[in-house]
Order: sequence, then structure tokens, then C-alpha cells
Amino acid sequence: MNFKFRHTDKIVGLFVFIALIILVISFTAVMMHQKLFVKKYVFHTRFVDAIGLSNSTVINFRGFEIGKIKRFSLNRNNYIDADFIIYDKYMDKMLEYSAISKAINPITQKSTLEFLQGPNPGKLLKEGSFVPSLDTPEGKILLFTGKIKKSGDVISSILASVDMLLLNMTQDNNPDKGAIFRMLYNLANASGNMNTSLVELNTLLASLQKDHNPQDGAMFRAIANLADLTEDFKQTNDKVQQLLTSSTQLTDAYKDPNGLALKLVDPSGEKFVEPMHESILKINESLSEINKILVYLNSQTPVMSSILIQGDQTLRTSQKTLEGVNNNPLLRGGISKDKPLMPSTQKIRPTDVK
Amino acid sequence: MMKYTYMIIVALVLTGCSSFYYQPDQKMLKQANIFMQNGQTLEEDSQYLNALNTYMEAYKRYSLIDKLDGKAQAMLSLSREYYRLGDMKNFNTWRDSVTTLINLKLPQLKDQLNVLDIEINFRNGNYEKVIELSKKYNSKDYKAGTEMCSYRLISKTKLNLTVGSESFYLKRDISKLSKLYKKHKLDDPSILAYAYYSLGYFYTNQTKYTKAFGYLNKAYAIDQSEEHYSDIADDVYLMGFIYEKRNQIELARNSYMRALEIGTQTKDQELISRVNQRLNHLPK
Repeated sequence: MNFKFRHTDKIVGLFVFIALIILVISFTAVMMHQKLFVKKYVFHTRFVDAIGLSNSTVINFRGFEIGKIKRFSLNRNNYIDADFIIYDKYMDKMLEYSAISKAINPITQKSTLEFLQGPNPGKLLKEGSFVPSLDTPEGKILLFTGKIKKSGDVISSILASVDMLLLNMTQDNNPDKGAIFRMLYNLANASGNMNTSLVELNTLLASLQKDHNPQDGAMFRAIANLADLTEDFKQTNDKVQQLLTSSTQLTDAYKDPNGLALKLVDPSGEKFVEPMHESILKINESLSEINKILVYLNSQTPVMSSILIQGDQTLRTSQKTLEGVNNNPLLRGGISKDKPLMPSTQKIRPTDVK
Repeated sequence: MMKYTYMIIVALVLTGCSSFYYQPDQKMLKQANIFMQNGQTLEEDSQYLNALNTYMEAYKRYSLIDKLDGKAQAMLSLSREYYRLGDMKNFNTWRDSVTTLINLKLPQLKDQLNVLDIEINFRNGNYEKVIELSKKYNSKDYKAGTEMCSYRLISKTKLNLTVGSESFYLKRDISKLSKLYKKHKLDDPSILAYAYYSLGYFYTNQTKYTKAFGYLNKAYAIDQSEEHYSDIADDVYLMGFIYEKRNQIELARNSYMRALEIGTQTKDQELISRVNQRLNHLPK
């Protein structure tokens, strides 16, 4: 027996209604956040470049967002003409001789716009007025004449300090610049002295390495004589060694007649013994690899079993889920039911042609 | 406010509970359909006894859920299998039962019953009866109509009767069916292949070999994509015959060899002997 809702349409309608209300509230919240209902005043400015500038770049004044860039374009003189809006609440900050400072964060490559207020108290700017940026000559004049003051930028300060540090590091004779530079100065002097000592040591070592150098002193002559003596001793020792080796080979050959036979068959060992040896070594390597594979496969058996069991469980779960989805009253109308299968007929084909 | 909250909670609980609902009918129907499909596969593999048992299982399941159209389809298939196995007693019993059921409750399946009678008469060589039965075209199901028309065309060819509108209607139906086939919406593409084959057979008998070859080629393409090997064998056999008549001996030999290969695989002794006969007639 099929289960059916009596008021399906009303319940669905209720859900749709709730969804619509949530949608409207969300839209309103977003619009309020975007300050769509706040009155705005448009002003113009000009920049040298548009690096890091976007339509959503905000204008800050002492940490407050007082407006944002509306649009910007490249003009005929290769400057960037930009329109920006100022929110109604901060309109009283727009005084005469104000300017915009554009700074680029060297890490994020994004622009920040800072509103630099003109002398306060002063005359309020009218909507649509031009507010110069510090990039342009007009802005620079304002800064030079002291009508506006530019606040310190943290990143710029850090960069200046790094610059100073690098400058000091590239200079010599500056132990008075602090402990690090004094240490570096002393280290540099010590390394100079060490260099001289090393040259002398190098000369001494060169004399030791040379042969027949009686002009270098008695010690070097004695060393040279000792070297000649050891050379003679080495030659004698080699001859004794050869003699002993020959006698050992002879006794070994008599001890191991199989070895003799092998030498008779393949005296050099290149044609039969060595290839066979190599083959056996390769087979041995392969066997160890095969063994590793077999051990690995054996170790993976529980994993495979667990994968199979998990796969089975997943299939069962998905079957139940799909059954649930199929039986859902909201979907059931949308899925076509199975029909009895119509079997194919015989379709007898004659082949006898007259 | 609380009232509405309760309403929403109750609605959610009811929706959740409904997902536990179980449909035994659909499950049983699905099982029966699978049995019917398996039966058909067994039939194609010439395992008629196994096919009969499988159709019987399908019939039992359709009966349990009282699915009349499925029951009638299974009964038609059972009748067909009993006839193939030569069990005429059971064939007559099932055929009578399915006739009663269709006449009383399922008139839309009259064409299917008609096709069964046509098949039996065609096998018995009773071509006049086939022509008569094929004119009883009840429903708007042009697929069944196409099959009946194909049987009529072949029967008239066999009886040397003048073919009237059959080839025209067949070509019209082929155009409809091939559109469906191209969109993969044709349930049983063998109907289209059979229509092409019957036209190929008709034109071969008319000695219009070019036309015949074109139709047989189309039938061959469909049979190949559907992997109906015995039908492929029939296609290549007739194509070989046409090659032979055109004196293209090597091509004819190749076609016959392909038919022979299929006959050996499907253990069709009749096909093997027929092909061997033709191969022996070919000049060396």
C-alpha cells in the first residue's frame, strides 16, 4: 500500500515560502553590508599607475573605511583617472587641500589608498571635486608645502632598515657601527693573518712532496735516502711474492683436480664459466625479487580482504540509500516504474533462393 | 509560533519515515524482468530447455504480483519454447491460456499473439495462412506491423505471388525504425535487421542483386552491433550467394567460409551442411 501525504502541496509550499524568506533576508543583509542604501558622494583623482588597483579598493582614513574606488581608466596623457565614492557619514572629512596616498604592498602587490586630510579646520570640498594623489605633481606640492602630512608606512620603514643594514655590510673598516660589525671586522683581520700562515705551510708541504731536494736541508736529505731504501726493499719483496704465488698455484692445482678439468675445458673462463656465473647471479637476483613480490602480495591479503568487505558494505549502504531515494514521495513521481519486458520474437529467416 | 514549529517537525518526521517504505511489487517485477531477459539470452544460445525454465520463473513472479501484461508475455514465450521443443501438448495448453487472457483483458497484445501464430505457420511452410494472419494488424504498434509485413513479403516471395504494397510499407516502417535506432531508442533492433533482411531476400529472388546486397549489408551491420551470430550467418550466406551469382568467386568463398565459421561455433548442423553444399559448387 502506498503511503501518501494528505497536504503535500501545503507542506511543500511552506518550505518554499521559508526558503524565499531566508533568501530575501540574505539578500538584504548582503546589500546592507555593501552599503547599498547609504548615500555616497563621488570625487575624482588621478594616479601614475593602476598597479594593485581594483574596483573594490577601499579608501581609509585613520583606519576607517570612508569610501572606495568606483571606476578607473587610462587617459590620453597616460595617467589613471579614477572616480571614488565617499560615504555620507564621512563627507565632513573632505576638506580643501586633501590628497590620496597610494601605497603598494610589496608582498601582496595590492594597493592601499589612504586619505590625507587637508588643514583642519578648512573649507569642505564639493561633490565631484578633484582630490590629487601623491603620485601626481599637484599632490607632491601639497606634501611639500606641508598642507598634508604623510603617515609612516610600516613596510616602508622595514625596507629602509634592511637597506641600511645591507649598505653597512658591504663596507669595510666600520667597527664603530655596532657589535656585529666589530665582530665582522676582527674576523676579517684574523682571516688575513691565517692566509699568510697557510702560504708558509703550503711551501713546507711542497718541499716534503718533492724528491731529490738536498738544497732544502739535512732532514730532507735523510728522508730522500730513506725513500730510496724502501724502494729497493719493495722490489725485493715483489720478487719473493711472485715466487710464493707460483708455488701456491702449483700446490693448489695438485690439490683440486676438478679445477684442472675446468681449466682444460674453458681455460680463459670467458666462454663458459663466466657467462654461466653471471646467469646464475641474475637468476638469484630475480628469485629474490620474486620472493619480495610474493611476500608483499601475501602481506597485502588482509588489506585486499578488508577492501572487498568495505566495498560490499558500501554497495549495501548505497543500495539502501538509493532505495530510500526511490521511495521518497517527493521523487517517486519523477522516476518511471519498471514495465514487463517484451521478449524478442523469433524472426525466422529463409535462406533458400530460387 | 510553536504550532508552526510542531507542523514542520511532523512534516520532517513523516518525510523521513516514508523513506523506509518498501515496494515488494517493484522488486518482484524487476526480478521477473531479469528472468525474461535471461530466458531470451538462453534462447539466442539455442538452450531452449533452460530458456523454458527461466521463462517459467518469470511467469511465476508476474503471477504473484498479478502483472497481467508481463504474465501474457511470459506465456507467449513459454508457448514458443514448448513448440521449439516439440511438446505440442503443453504448447496447445499455454497457447489457449494466453489467447483467452489476451482476448479478455489485454487486447493490446493481440498482435504479439498473431506474431506467434505467424511464426508457427511459417515454420510449417503454411505461407497462405501467414499472409492471411499478417493482414490482421490490430494495434498502432508499427514494430509488430513491420515484422508481420516482413513475413508477408517473404511468404509471397516463396509462393511466387505478386508483391503489392508490402515493400512500400516496409520501406516506410524502416525509415521510422532506423531513426529510432540511430537515437538508441529502439528496444529490439532485430526487427529493423529483419525488415532489411526480408527486403534483401525479396530482391535476391528478383535477381536485383545490387539492391539486395545494399539491404543485406544494412542488416549485417545491425546484427553485428547486436552480436546476433546466427543472423550474421544468414546475412553473409545470402551475400555469398549474390557474390557467386556475380561470378566473384573469391568473395563468395570468403562469405561462405565466414558463415561456416559461425555455424561451427553455434553448432548449427543445418547451416554447416548448407554452406558446405554451396562451397562444393564453387569452381576451384
